[in-house]
Amino acid sequence: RPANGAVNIQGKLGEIDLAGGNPLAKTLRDWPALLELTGGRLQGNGTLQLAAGSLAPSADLNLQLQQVGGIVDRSELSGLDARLAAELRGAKLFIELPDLRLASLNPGVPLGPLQLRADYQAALAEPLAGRLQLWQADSGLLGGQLRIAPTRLELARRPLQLNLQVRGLELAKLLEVYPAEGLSGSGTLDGQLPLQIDSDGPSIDQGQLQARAPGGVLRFHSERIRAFGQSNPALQLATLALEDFHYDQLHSQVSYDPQGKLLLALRLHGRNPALEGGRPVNFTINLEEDVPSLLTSLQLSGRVNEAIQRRVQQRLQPRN
Amino acid sequence: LDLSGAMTALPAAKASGQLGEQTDGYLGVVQPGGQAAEIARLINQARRAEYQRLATQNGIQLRDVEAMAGKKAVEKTAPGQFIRLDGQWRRK
Amino acid sequence: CTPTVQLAAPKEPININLNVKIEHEIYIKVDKALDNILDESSGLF
Repeated sequence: RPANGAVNIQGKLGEIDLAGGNPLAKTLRDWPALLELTGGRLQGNGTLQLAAGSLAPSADLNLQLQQVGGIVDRSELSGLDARLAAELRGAKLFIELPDLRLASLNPGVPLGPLQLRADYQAALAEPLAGRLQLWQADSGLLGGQLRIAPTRLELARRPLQLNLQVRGLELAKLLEVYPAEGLSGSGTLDGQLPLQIDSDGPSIDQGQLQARAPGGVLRFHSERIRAFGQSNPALQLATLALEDFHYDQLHSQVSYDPQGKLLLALRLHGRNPALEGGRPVNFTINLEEDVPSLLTSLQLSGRVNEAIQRRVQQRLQPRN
Repeated sequence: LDLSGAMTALPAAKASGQLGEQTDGYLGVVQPGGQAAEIARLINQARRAEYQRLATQNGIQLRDVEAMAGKKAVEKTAPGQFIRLDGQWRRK
Repeated sequence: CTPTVQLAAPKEPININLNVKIEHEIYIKVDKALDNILDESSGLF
C-alpha cells in the first residue's frame, strides 16, 4: 500500500474462453443458475482506488464479450458481442453499454439480430432504482422488425412504460413458426404495442396490429375442425371461408396480461373466391392465446435445442 | 416371432448391444444376428401405430411426434446401451 | 345474341363472429403420453 494510505488495485481479467465450460460460474457465487454460457470469449480489466481517509472507493470495470453463446433460462442465445463500461465515483454508479449485438435469441420464436445501446446511472445505495437511458433497442422478428424508440426510464417509478413498434412482420413466417397444423398465409403486419412493466410482470394495453394494403391470403385446413364443423353450421361456414381466404383488411386490438394471456380482437374482411361466388365475408374473431404454454409447446416440440427441453421437462415434473 | 415375443426378447436384445435407440423414435440394429432385425421390425411397427394415433388425436404432424419420441428414447436409454447420434452408434 | 344471365355475387357480406381459445396442452400431453409408450412397462422400450 502506498505510503499515503491510498489503495490502488489494478486487475486484468485474462481472456477467458467459454467453450470449455464457464469458469466464472465456478468462482462467482451467485452466477444465475439458469445462465449457461457455452462458447465465445470474455475479456475484462478494472481498477479500484480508495483515496486515503475517504470511505467512497472509486472503481471502473470494462468488460468485452465476443461471440458468446449459451442458454438463458429457456431461451437459446448465440453470437453475443458486447462492450460494457462500469464506473463507481463517489456514491454513484455509472454503467455504459455503448454496443450490444446479439445474433439470435430463441425462446421458441426466433428473435434477432438484436441491437442495444443504453446508459444507466444510480446511487450506490439503491442500485436498482436508477435512471436508464435507452438510445437504441431493436430486433429482427419474423421477417420484420421490433423497435423501442429511444426513451428515458426511472426504474423506481412503476409501472415502466415502453412503446414497442412492429414493422413489416411477415404473416407467412409467423404462421410457419406457430405450432398448428394446416395453417399458412401471407401479408405484412405493422403495429404499436404500448408495453407496461410492473412488479407482477409485463402487460400490453390497447395494442394495435394491422396488415398493409392490399392485404393477403389466409389458408386453414384441419381435418379435426372440419369434422367438428359437421355438427356446427356456423363453424362449418367459417372453416369453408378460411380454406382460401383472400383478405383486404386485417386489423387487431392487442392486449396481454402479466399471467401470459394474449387477447386479439381481430377484424378480418375479405372473401373466398370459391364460396358463393366470392361473396364478401366479415369476420370478428376474439382469439385468446396462452403465451407461456405456447412457448413451452414450441420448446418441447424440438424447435429449440435439447438442453432447453430437459429444463422444460424438469420444470413440468413436479406439476404432474 | 410375434409382437408379444418381440416384446419379451427386447430387453435382452438391447442389453446385449444388438439393438439401440435412434433419434427418429425407432429401434435400430447395432449388430445383425439372431432375431434382432425381426424384433426391431415388430416393435417399430407397434411404435409407429402409437405415434400416428397421438399425431391424429392431437392434430400435430407425425414427424413432430417422432422427433419428440426420438429425444425421449435417447434420453431414457440406460447407460451402456447403444444410441445412434449423427449416424454413429455409440454406447451411452 | 342470347342474353346471358350473370349471377352477380350477392353484395351484402356474410358476418361471422368467432370466439377462439387456444389450448397448448397438446405438446405437453403428447410428451407425457410418450413417457408411457417409451417405458419398460409398455414392452416397446
